[in-house]
Amino acid sequence: MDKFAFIFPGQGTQFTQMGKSFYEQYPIAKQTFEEASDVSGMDVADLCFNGSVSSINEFNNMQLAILTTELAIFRSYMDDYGVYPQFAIGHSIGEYAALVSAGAITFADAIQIMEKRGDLINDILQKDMGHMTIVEKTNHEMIENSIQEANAQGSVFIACFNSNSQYAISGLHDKLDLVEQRLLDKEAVVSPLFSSPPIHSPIMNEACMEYLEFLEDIEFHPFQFPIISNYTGAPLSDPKKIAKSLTYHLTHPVLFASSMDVLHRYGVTSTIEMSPKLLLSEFIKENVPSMKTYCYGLFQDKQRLDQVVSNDTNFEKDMPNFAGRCLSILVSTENNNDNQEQYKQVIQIYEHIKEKYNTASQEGHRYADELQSEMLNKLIQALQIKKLEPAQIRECVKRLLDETNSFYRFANVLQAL
Amino acid sequence: METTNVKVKQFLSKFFRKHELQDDEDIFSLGFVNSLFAMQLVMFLEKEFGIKVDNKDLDMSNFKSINAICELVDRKAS
Repeated sequence: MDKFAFIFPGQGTQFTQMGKSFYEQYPIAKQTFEEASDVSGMDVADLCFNGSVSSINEFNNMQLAILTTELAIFRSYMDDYGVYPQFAIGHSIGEYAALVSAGAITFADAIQIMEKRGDLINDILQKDMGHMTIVEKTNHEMIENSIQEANAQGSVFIACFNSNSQYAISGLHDKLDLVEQRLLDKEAVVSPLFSSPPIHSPIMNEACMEYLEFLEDIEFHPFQFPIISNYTGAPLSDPKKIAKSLTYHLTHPVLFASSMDVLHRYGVTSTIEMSPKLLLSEFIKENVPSMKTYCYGLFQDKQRLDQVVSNDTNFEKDMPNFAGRCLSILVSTENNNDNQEQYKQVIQIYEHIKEKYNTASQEGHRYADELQSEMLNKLIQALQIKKLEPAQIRECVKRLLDETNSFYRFANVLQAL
Repeated sequence: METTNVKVKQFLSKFFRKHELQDDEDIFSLGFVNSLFAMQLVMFLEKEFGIKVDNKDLDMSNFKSINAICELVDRKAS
């Protein structure tokens, strides 16, 4: 069976009308856009589908549009298959989508974090100190040499290691212009992004303290699967490390290229880009030619993936269903209740859900809303009898709702815990 | 028309530093631009000339040369 990693691209993903087919086809995608609008106070569907090129490229809008669209596509995938990957990795802004997909940040919190990030970055943008430039047909050495020749150490930095031949560099305008000139002389292809702030470089230092303080007030959750962080290029699965990691993310380069090698070393054989268009798959192939790449936003890729999955019985076995997930939570949580009489009720609840599971297994595990609601209530009751901490029960339920895409349906249940 | 031409030329010169672009020269055939460039160009036009470029305008033929870009701007501004 293939081992998968999910890829969430960043800047460059945005285009008008992105995500529209998912919005129209999947109720969960539509609900995702609606939640984004509720939390941000901006009509995100209107921004993505009818906005001008300028408005969707405005920094805060772009972050919001990309985060929302990628989550809508990821959740559509969860609706179709629901099998979690080995890892997720996001590029720059995409790291936030990766963290939401892994359950470590709620979507609503991620929107608020992005807003804060956007505001801080806009403050720096207002000062018009520098910009970011994409460099192609180049290599690490050529860039370092060009920075030295232009005497731009300390003002121009590599911001993204995208592949062996594509990089992004951030820097102060004047010095960056000089470096660009040197790179052009060496036959590299240079595309300055005039409206893009010099992110992933020490120029962002002044935003760090305020951002870290903001992040430290956010509640982070256990990871359902690790992400490969841009800052370290290594797996991250400790919620306590998220605040620092996202802060350093502003001032340190995106280590995307080497992350592909990490995926390879961990045995990942396929990647799925959770984006409306193909963006990073080419880089992935450049770094690891044997990797099979798919983009969930492309119809033909989705079909290709469907073939792979339908030929793989192991994959089908892993597809989550409501009753199965309730059962696995029941067996994988400890019991802190010594009272045997009370514990018998837990066993009864287990048997009850097991029965529902067996009945539904004949019909592809379809569960009516009322049945799901009943099983969820019974599960919570059993966890309470087991005397789990309230916070633990909340995480169990959150996990169930995340895995089964039912967080909107049972939002009130989770809220009440 | 004159000032549009000058402004567009000035913007493009940031991308084509080693090449003196002619008014009717095909930008895309020169091979050193990518999709990021196209996005930058549209954003520049919207900001600089206060026009809104619709999806139906996002056709290569509207951006293929300095003349084509100036025509698009004039059409949208009128």
